[in-house]
Amino acid sequence: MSAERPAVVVEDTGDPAAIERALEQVDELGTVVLAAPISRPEAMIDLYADLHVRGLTLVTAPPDDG
Amino acid sequence: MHPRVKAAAVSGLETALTSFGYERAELALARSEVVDWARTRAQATRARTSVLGGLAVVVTGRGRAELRPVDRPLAGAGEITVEVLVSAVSPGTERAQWLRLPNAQPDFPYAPGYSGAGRVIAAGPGAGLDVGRTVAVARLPHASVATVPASWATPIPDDVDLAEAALVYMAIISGYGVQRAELQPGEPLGVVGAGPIGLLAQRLASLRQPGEVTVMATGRRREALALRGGADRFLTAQDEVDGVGAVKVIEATGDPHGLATAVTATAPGGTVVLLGSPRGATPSAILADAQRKRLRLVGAHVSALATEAKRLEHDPFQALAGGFLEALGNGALAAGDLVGEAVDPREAQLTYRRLARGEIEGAHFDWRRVPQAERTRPRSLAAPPALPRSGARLTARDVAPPAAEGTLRFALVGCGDVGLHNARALAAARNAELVISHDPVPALAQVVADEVGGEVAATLEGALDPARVDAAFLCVPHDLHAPLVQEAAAAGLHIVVEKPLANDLAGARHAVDAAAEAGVALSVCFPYRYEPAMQMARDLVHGGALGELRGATVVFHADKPESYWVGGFSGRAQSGWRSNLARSGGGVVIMNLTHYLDFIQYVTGARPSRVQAVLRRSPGSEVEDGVAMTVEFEGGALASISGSASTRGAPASRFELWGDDGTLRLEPEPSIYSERAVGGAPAGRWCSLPEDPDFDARVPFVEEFAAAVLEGRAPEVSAADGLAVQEWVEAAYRSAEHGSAQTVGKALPA
Repeated sequence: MSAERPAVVVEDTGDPAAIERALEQVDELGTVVLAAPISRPEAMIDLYADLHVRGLTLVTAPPDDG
Repeated sequence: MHPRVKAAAVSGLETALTSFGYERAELALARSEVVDWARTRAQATRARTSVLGGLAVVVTGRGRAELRPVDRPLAGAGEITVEVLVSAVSPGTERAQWLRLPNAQPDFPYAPGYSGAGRVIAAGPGAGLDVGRTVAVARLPHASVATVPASWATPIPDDVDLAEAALVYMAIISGYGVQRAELQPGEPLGVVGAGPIGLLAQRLASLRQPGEVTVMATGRRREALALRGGADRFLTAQDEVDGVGAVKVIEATGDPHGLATAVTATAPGGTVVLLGSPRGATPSAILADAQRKRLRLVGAHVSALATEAKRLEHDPFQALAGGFLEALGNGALAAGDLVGEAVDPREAQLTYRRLARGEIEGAHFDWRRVPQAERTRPRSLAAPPALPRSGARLTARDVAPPAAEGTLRFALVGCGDVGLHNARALAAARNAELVISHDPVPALAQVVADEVGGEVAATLEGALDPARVDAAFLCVPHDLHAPLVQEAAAAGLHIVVEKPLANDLAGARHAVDAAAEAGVALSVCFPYRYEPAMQMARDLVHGGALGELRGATVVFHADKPESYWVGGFSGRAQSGWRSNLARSGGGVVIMNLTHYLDFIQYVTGARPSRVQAVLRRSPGSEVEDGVAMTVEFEGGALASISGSASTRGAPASRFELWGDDGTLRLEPEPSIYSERAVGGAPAGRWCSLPEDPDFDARVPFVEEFAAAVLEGRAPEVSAADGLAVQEWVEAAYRSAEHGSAQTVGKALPA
């Protein structure tokens, strides 16, 4: 485990750009929790560089749970 | 190496290569090959081994791939050197790279490929694998030889097909996706995508006894493969997938639509594994949908497996590879229907092109199709790098001597310019003899006899004497071709007529009928076919170098002086027949382009169906000295043919033929470019064809005709060939006259 990166990041804004940043910041094979509803569903998000390549897990909490 | 030193070395290397004429893509390739050459020798020196030569597929630019010579160090400690027998083409990654899709744009030149199988030919200390063992190797580029860490290789169980074993890295990728799904026995499983990765994932997942398995794809082409692999149902984009309700779904397409399908097909609270590499950004709306269903999205790129490997005490790559090969070996898993078409690695460019066009869904390079001596070659440390060649060249084959014994005795009728050329060919031919020459101008015939030998006949009847000659070679004005063919045939002589067959189509048909009725051979002098480059071109085209013919271009240029029209090029025989339309039948089309028209039909077998032509005549001239012609062939190929007899300066003519898989340039500078591995020409690289400016193609033409007659068979240049050219010429003239496209061969009743 990297000392610089957390194993879990909770993303609480729902903004796609912030979600990308959360994905960047979590450790390899780490987990990002989407705790807020997606705010701009029309925006695009890169799932390749981090979620896919670094083997992350994205746990989604439904909007009413956020 | 210190970065500054490295930069200086690379800069110096580029300067040196540029001074040798390398530029752009060739410069990048040469630089890469020199660096690779140096790296290989450094590795071999460090490991105290030697080097081995082989071949590797290299993508050198957009749409360009070729087989390049490479050197590899022999195995050092913990390594093995593998003679690669099969390497699997990944239709996902490699197709994406070929198309330069997002997230799949490696710098040129790059070496594609990452999975294969072969035989261990060297093993370093501690490798743990015996020489001679067949192994499946992950992370293996498409190359005939490779030296890799022994940990990348897994022994192949007996009776497992090499092509199936070569899928090992794809199985690791797919198996990792299954692993990340944490699939439990009895859980319903969905797989989105029915390419090799998706179907391998489905089959590997099926070994874990899941519940209902649903495969989803854009179309039904792969349905049978999915069902054969254990899927319970197969759905397409047209089907409703929200009822699938799979607890685990593996997305194996990388396409945003595929991810949307996966999210829809997953049961609330389920897991979607991202196995396919996303090609571009994903709409956040899909994440919003996943969020509403409280899904878990799990990335499963093989890079993450490498991260896991660092954290584990065992090698997860070996575990996945071993599991795959064991399942193949014990029959729990079958993958023979996923290996795709076996292709020759020399045809890598064609393979990628077909893959990109969707003509094939998978493939594997079968290196055994390449001669062994090219696949593994001993190389010394001191051997220089094999830089990109400025141009490959095929060497001319020897002209075979005539098979049949005996000599065909000829009478030459017409001793003008072309008559003298043909007389010399008759004298040089090993199975022909010029016995009699005749010309209405006796002095011309005497010149022939003085130079070449034989007698001079004062009369035509004296020349066409079946007691003294077997054949007649007619080199007379075009309007006399058909009448003299009839006379010679009536005398029982075999006949060669200088091209064209006649001055018009009706005459040509009369000539053919006369020869047929008399039972004699009739041929038209098209010696162009026998040029060394043309013979080689024919062999290459017949071997499939062009694939399906798509087009042809002829641009013929000559600068005929005014004196030509009254005395030919030499002025030996003064006559105005060439500029008399009734006598010649026409100008540049019938006089010059006929060679090209014959060759196109000869080498490709294509038959013209429709022709549209316009002619240009000089003021006061009856025959054309310029033509522009478009041609449509049966089968759909098109040709653009133009000719001019008055192009000042007579620039080089152009003659090119091209098809799906290659291009043949015959003028100027004969050369061929083919994506097919045919006849020793390097696939994917222009290759020069042999030229010999001193070669007299009329000699092998005469020899072939004489051999045909002596052997009792039809000559290679048949009367039908001559007639086919005549029909084409006639259609062009008819088109010019009517101002509309004309059907070839329909002018007169057959």
